Amino acid sequence: MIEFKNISKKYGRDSGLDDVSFALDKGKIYGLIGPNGSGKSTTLKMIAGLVRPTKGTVLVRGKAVDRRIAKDVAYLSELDMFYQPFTVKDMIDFYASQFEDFRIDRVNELLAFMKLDPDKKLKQLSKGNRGRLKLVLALARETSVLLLDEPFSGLDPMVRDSIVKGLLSYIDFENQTVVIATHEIDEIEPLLDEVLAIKDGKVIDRQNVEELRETKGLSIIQWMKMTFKE
Amino acid sequence: MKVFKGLFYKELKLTKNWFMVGIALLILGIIVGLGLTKYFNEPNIFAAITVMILVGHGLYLPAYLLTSLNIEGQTQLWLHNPNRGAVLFLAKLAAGFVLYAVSFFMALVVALWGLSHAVNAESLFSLTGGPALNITLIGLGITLGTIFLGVWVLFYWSLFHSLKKVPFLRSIRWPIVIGTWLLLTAIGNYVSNLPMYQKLKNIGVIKLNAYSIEFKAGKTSASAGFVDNAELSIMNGIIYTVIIFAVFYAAVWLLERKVEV
Repeated sequence: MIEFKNISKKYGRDSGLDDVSFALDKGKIYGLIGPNGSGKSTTLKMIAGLVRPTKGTVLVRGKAVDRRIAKDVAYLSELDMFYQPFTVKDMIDFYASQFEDFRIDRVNELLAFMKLDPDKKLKQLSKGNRGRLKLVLALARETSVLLLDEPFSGLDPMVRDSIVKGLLSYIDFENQTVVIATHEIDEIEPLLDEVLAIKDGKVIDRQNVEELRETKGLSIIQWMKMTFKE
Repeated sequence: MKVFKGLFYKELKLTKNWFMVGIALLILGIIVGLGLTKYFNEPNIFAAITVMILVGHGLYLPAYLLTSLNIEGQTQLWLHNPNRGAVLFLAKLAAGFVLYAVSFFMALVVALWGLSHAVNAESLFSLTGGPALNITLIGLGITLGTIFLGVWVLFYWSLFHSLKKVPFLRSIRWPIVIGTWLLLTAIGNYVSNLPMYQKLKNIGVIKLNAYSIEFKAGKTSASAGFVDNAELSIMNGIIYTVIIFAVFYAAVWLLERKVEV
């Protein structure tokens, strides 16, 4: 479904990603874990076609990625930025006009689920509700790839909980490939099939979460502490 | 069409306040013009100010596009969109043009009123060749000018943001953009002075002698706008159309391939 072939991304002398290769399968949920600046966001932006590799090829469903891969990829940004004069409904109407796979019936369900008022102006929303809205916009699309960049960043436990419940209810577990870049492992541990550890632009380890639990008796956090300590 | 409409209405909502500020400035200009006219007891001051406002609309679309693009440029998340870059830019141009048209029409009405009063005062402005024709041609010139400049803004904005992700160029983005502008201007000047270009320009020339604006003050007079012996070259128009399409697609190319989030 998603393939990174010898991907490097240079920002001058700094490396965003350094000769990274991996493949992600259909119908699985992946956690992308690593410290700040490790290359998690760059990886997601590259799958979304919003950042181009300096070297190598990124493929999504066998197609080389460019900006217009947004047709197949739903992307929730870590950035907390919306069009300020818009209401929640304006934002939904805009998304519905741009993405063919945007499901209005699902939006209505999601809005009720997340307790969001469609007539509320975005500038009047709390950070938590803006986080919820970002998730509504991403989950209302029927895409083969769903990318979530720090969906819990700066949000209180109540909001985190509603986001996890939203993910559980609305992810297509059979057909979607979901990649979540996050620091908050606790909330999403039960969701994940595999985890990839990224450090200094390199994928340093990759584990199947079930195997990790059953054969090594480790939770993701324990594995993460061990991996990044080494 | 649904895509374009969505982008178009997004633009209008996003820049509604900007438009209102523009209209407020227009009204302020009119009030200042009327105030000065009354203070100096000189009706032509108002006419001069309204003509300045009208001509100032040549910068309307570039200013609009800069405002709108700078909102997007804060995150560049507008690029998470499966539609063509040309459509993203065209929606901005179309929305900006609609707001320009409304503002320009208002300025035009005020300018015509101001000019008619100045003409009645038989001093500064007098229109030869018919005010309607003159104003139409001037309006067309300003409108084409603002579109031309607007498309260049798209290009320079895309160039500026293309350089953002290259660290050693990041700090010198402005000099690079200014240097590119100087280089392209120099090339433009060189080409326009070539004998071959002059020959091309002379194909399909329409004389505009009849349509001129004459400024008179006392015994001295001067012509401006479509001045005596002014010409409109169809070939020149074609050349500029080709240039503007090329610049637009260069901007789209940069947006699609070089601008990053």
